Amino acid sequence: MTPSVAITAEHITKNYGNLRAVDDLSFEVYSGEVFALLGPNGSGKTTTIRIILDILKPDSGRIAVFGGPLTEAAKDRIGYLPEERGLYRGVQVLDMMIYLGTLKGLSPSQARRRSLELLDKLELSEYAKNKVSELSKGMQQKIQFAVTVLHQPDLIIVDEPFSGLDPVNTLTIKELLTEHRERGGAIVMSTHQMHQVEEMADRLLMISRGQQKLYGPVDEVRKQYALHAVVVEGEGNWSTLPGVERVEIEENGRRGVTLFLKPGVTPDDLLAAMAAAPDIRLRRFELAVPSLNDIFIQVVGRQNNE
Amino acid sequence: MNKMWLVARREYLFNLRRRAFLFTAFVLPLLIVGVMILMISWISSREENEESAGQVGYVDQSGVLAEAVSRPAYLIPYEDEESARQALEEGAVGAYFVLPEDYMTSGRVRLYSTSSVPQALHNSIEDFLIANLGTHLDPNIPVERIQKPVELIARPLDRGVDLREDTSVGIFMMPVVFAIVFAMSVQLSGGYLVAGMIEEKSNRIMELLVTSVTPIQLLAGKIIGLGALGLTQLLIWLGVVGLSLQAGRGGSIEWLSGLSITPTLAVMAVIYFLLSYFLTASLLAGIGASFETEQENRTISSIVSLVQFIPYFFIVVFLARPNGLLAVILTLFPLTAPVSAIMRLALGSVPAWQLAVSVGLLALTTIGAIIMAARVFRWAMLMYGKRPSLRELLAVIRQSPPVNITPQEQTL
Repeated sequence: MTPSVAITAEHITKNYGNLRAVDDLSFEVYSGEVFALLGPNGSGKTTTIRIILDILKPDSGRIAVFGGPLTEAAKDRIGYLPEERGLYRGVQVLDMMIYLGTLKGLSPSQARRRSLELLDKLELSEYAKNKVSELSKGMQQKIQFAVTVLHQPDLIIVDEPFSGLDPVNTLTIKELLTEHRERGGAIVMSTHQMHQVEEMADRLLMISRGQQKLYGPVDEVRKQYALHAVVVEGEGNWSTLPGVERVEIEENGRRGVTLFLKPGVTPDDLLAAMAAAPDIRLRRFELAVPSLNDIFIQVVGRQNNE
Repeated sequence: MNKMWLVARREYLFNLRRRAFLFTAFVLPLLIVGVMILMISWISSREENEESAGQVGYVDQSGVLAEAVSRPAYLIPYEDEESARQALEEGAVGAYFVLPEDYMTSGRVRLYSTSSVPQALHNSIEDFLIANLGTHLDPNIPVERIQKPVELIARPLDRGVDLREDTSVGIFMMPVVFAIVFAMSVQLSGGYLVAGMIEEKSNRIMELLVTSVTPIQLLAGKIIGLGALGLTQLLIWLGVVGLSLQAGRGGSIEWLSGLSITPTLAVMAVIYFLLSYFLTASLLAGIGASFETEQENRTISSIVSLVQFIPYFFIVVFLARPNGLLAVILTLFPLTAPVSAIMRLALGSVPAWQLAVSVGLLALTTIGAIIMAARVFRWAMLMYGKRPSLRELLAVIRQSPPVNITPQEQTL
């Protein structure tokens, strides 16, 4: 079964005067996946999000949300967490949540019930009657997230969802996001926290200067950048092993030793050779797949510093 | 439920509960009523003060008052100044005046008193003297005619109402009251509108709102909600002022009788009120969306309201030449139309074609302003910390793609 498509972007381009913010981007976001939108500052991530949300019109290209234009009904199925957070400050938390919920098509009673549920889940029930301005920054972040998922949208777009959150709150938000995906919702997540992407994202789109740099499942992207090498930990004389071309010991060896393989030699061949070698004590053996962080720096870091 | 009504409801209820609103809605009219009552009692005390001075003596050295006629009971004649002074010192009289021998030629009257002299005493001495001077003329002339030679009755054409001096105050009051009430409620609602938009913009909540409602829904909802708030305020004011005036004085001010409201005037007032509220609100919304700080907004907004008050400066012109060129121009120009038309309607009649053209132009302008405001709104609300240039604004209003606009992306 092919998953249903939440977003389809075809060749979207957006200029600000002479600056090309988004340059011929095409991608799809499926229901039930976490889609990471990555890129350095000013690469066009927020512009792309705004085009999806119909805040901005693309100069050319086509964008479809749930298979069509962004109608009012479609808007009700989207939850958005802007990077620049914003809430009404002088009003009660619950009142504000209910208002924003009804704007997303909930009835006042539904909105109230859902708000109380979420406040309970986020351990903020006791603040329901407080004014938003009386809450700490972290609490406001959580309220803002609650507003994003209040109407149980089919698509959530979150811009830096974890910024400013402590590890415990980060976990809470992650759980809510996972829950949402398990219900079959789609998540577009823009973030700089690569380990979160590695952990959560199914697929990614990496852009730089508005152009697509990488696009596809996270695992495939990482495999694509995999070296012809393995990372090992243990004792023994690695360089004498058959099939090893070169040995690289990184950062005082804490991250293991990288063994580069001769052309034609597979990691399996090497593992077999190690098993045969009597002086090798092996504690860890894995393919040398770079972290997304490394890939990110490799793809956009250099180029940005040209 | 349509989201526009949700926005309208929220704006209405939220601002209704504001302390500032409650203050202006309830405390302000009470203050005004208080001041009015003070003023009225002060004016009437001046009128009654001739008695508060008690008896007033006089000494006639000129002979004008030898056979005094229509002498009020509290004016006491004295033989000479000495006995009058004695009476003053003993407190038998509060004051006395002397008509010196040369009064007929000089007109001088010397007044002696222990305290300040009320204006009313001055008037009654004058009346007394006029009456007595009259007796030296043709005895066939009635005293009243000498005392009040002119009883002016103005009769504006097409209105069928006699304007006597005592009712004409009301005729002036009508447009003035209308315009003040109108301006106050438009200003207050407009102020809330702008303040709310600035909050949503600077709090970045706007970004959330536009992914829930369309800019038109948001704008229309705000304007309707705050318009309803303005009307509420108006009703509270009229209620509080009306009730307390009724209670305070039993409804006996003469000039209020001039406040006759013809059906045409009432209908036109409602039409003009609604149209110009929507016009002003859209202009303010467009302005509010374009500027970041409340201060900038106030400056620009006050220009809008100032223009609306221009007709006030020409109230005399309206009186003198109700159908003159200036009056017609001010009636047709959309921003000045409401106040001008209402003033002219209150003063007399306005040709039907002028009203039709005036309302038509105003309606067109209002629709244009709403569309324009929505465009500016949609575009400008996501621009932070950047002042739009006039060129950009015009491009947006003409709906050509704005140039060189770089919203937040660069700050990422």
